[in-house]
Amino acid sequence: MKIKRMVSLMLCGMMLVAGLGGCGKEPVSADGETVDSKSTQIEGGVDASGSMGRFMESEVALPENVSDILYAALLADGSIELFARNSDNDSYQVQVSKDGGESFSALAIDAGQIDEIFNAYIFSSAIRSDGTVVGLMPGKDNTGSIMAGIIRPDGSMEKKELVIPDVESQNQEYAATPMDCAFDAAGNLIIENLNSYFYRADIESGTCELLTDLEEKHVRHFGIAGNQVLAVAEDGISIVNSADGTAWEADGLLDEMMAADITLADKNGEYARPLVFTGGDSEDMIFYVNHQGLFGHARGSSINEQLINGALCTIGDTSAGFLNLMMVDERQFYLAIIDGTDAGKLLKYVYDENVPTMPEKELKIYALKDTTFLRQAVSSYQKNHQDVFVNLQIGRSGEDGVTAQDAIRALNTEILAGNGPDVLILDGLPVESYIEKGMLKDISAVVEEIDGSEGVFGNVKQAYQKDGAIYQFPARFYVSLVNGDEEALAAGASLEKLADYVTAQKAAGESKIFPMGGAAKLLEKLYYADSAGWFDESGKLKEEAIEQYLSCAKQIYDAQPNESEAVDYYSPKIDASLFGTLDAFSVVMKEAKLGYGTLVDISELVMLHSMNEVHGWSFSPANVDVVKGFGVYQLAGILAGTDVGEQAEDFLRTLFGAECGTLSYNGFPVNRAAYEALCEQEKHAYDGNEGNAGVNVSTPEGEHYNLLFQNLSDEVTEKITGILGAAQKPVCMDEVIKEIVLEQGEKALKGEIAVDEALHEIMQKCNLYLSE
Amino acid sequence: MKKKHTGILFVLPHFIGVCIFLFLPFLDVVRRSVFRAAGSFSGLENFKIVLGNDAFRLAAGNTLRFTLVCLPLLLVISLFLAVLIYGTGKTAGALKNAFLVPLAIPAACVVLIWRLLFHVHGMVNGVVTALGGTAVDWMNTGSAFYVLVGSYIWKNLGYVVVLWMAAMDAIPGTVYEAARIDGAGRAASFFYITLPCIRPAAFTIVVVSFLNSFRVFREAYLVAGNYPHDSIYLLQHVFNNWFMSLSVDKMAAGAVLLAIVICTAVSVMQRMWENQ
Repeated sequence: MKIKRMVSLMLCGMMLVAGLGGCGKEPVSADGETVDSKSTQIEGGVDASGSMGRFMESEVALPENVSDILYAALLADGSIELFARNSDNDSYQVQVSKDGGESFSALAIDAGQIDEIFNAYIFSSAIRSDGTVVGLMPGKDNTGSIMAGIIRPDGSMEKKELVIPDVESQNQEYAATPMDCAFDAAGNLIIENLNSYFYRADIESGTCELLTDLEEKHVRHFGIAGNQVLAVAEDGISIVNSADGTAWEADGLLDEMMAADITLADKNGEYARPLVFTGGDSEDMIFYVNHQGLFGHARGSSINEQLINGALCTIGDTSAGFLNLMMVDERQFYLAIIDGTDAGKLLKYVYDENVPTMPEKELKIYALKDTTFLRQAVSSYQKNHQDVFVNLQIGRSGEDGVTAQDAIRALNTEILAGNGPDVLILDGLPVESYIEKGMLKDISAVVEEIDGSEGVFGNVKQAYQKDGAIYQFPARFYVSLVNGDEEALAAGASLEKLADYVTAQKAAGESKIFPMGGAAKLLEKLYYADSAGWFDESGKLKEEAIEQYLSCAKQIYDAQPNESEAVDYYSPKIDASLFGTLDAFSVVMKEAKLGYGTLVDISELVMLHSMNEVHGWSFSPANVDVVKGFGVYQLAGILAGTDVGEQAEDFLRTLFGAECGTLSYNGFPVNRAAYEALCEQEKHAYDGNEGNAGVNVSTPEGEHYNLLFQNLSDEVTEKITGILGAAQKPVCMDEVIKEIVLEQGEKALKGEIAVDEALHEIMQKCNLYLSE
Repeated sequence: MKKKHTGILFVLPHFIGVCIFLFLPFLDVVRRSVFRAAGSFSGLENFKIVLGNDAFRLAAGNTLRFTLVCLPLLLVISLFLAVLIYGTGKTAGALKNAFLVPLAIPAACVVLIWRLLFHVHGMVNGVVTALGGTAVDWMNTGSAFYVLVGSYIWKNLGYVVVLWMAAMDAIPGTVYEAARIDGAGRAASFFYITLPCIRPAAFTIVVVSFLNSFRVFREAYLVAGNYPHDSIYLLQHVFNNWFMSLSVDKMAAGAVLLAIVICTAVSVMQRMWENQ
């Protein structure tokens, strides 16, 4: 009996312990960081331990006429030297700062001579510790020698041929094509060619000797830390002594890092990469930067010290690529980067022992999808608010098979549990329901403030005002256009006219009328042009509007050639999501009589304008007789009840602000100042360069079309501003309705079901959804 | 007295589990049912909203219709099969196992089979058109309901047959022998011996089958998603979609209403069984 009682008591105890187990703290990783298995979360977290000391980031102001940085280096005398492109022409310059980046002075060099020396594309460049700049170009006949343009510290220049030995033993075609180069601590220029052969070059004599051959490794890029050449390939990092070419034993920790993220082996941009190195005081010390942060590691050791957490500064911005890491001492670093807009930046990191190791405040930002624009906004905010840790949570990383519904369920669970985010990027989320439930905070003060200072498109603001409050607001927006001759423009004024136009053209013997890409793409194009007018005042779906949409789409689809014959010439994408784009190239390639779809950004407008100037065409808003709609991107709101409301509002100021507005070309910025800056930029983008920049398209039949870009004219800028400013209603961005309509519509277009049946299904499902 | 306390101690672990994982969360659901999603007190307003909600009413109607069609069908077919199998002697075990196979098939596989069979270009339509009939869009018409009913019966039949047979096993063989001696045939034995003797077990079987009928949502959801054809839009679809839109207030009120209906139904059935 006693045993039975003991057993039952034990079971009770176990049950209690198991039950209470669920009430503990969140799981914590080895380095004390919160682990979130449901979302991709930037590492880091608010430090409760009170430990002090952190590297603080600041941006070094670059001289005005510097655009791209090709290489940055810290010289032996402590100066910072930049080899950069001029912003006003395609030439190069060398800038030197002797006061840690406070001021720069240009090295006096002959402008004519530098153009003569660097008369070919510079594949790679490097700066020696004495200030000598080397830019490598392929040799004349592409075999035997690499051409090096050299700029010496006194401003003198020369072009030298670096003779490559043993060319016969490797693929001769690539032997003299430089892939990467850097100076080692001893001042030798280490060159890697496209065959992954490494050479040590003497730039004075022009001789090269083979250092090592890593052809089998397929090395993508390399860095140097002292005399250690760190050759980065997908399967690991080979470390070679630059003095004699001997290989050091593989470093387990660096190889593990590569195994965890093979994209570190890629280059991201012209000269940038996601992983760069520099050496330390001791021979085997390696400092490196990747998007996780800046680390210090002694070769062969198992210790990897994180000096800077990437999540707390620009380092964590995955849209940026790194050029060079420079170490002044263990308390001060410089990092040259190319940001998401391809602009060169020089960042300074100084250790400050008086700030907490981790910020005391945490701002949680949630988005269903990761976007470059959001990353840039986070990075921009983080740079100016280093006392706040931004925890960016991405619902669907795209790597774990999580569906949008799974992600929304997980988000809702977090919100219900009181662990919800502070800022929500509402694209793809049930935003109307959140507003109805009072889950979103009124952000009209933020919007009004930005409107007062920088201005916002009034029509967009008005569209999101609800009972005097604004609960959601987009950072960017776009409109649907029709492009072509007068007849095409008239046809684009409504779906009905468009369908009649297509039918008439078909009857007249034309076969390629509407830019095609299949049923789904056609439906999507028409969706963005039409769906803003699908709801009545009470929020009910108008059956006649859907019927019109489906029957017009069917009429257009049936008048087109087979889907297999459709050619998609140009499909600009917004963060990998294909919108119904204009496909203007289809018209010049005689694959369509008109361009139709959304104008997603200003660069597409430049293309359209350049094309129209040649052919005498024009553009006008699509479906304007029915509805003046606009699509939105990066719709944001703040969760009511957030305890960091001030920080959340600050983030929205950044997201909707002019600086962020000009950062990316995805959609048009709602911010007027940013929009005008972009327009102004495109009005002069090809000054002195008209006739050089353009795009070339070939048809499968081998027909070529070369379009040269032109500056935007005032007339076109005013026209598009008028169209953007006149748009009244947001396109239906409800993912449930969109999915139902497109799914059933595709069946109808392909003839699997009748249009009536599709309409019935759509109405039944959508009404069910709306009645919930 | 000591014996009584020992019993309580044995029940206690499970009771604590039920309290922590079911009873306390349900109390929270009850609390939420009288508050708005934003947190303010709403009294019975959520219940009014839910009862007036078209989607909820459609789903409740479908769920009730599904239960009323499925339960009698399942109970009758399974009892019929149980009696047949019970009479087969040695092969009864093998047949019983065969009927249990559907229970072991994961829902994801069942869904794949459904798609193969009931797609507009699927195998069933292949047979129908081969026989000169017209293809039916099974999952997007009223037929979807009967597909769902068929799936529920196919999946649960074996389990209920086993329960019926277990109940029959408890009837002493001597009772049937005595009846046979008295001249009772198979039909008389079934109606006057088997049915009365398995009646206590029938209550459990009905309740279990009733609760299992709510599990059919998994297949319906995997095949047709959040918004299936009207006829198979069940209560779980509404709850699932309400959670997606964070309509916790409606979800809680709906859950309380459902709990009331289930508890009432079970209590009524229990009372009916006890009275008999």
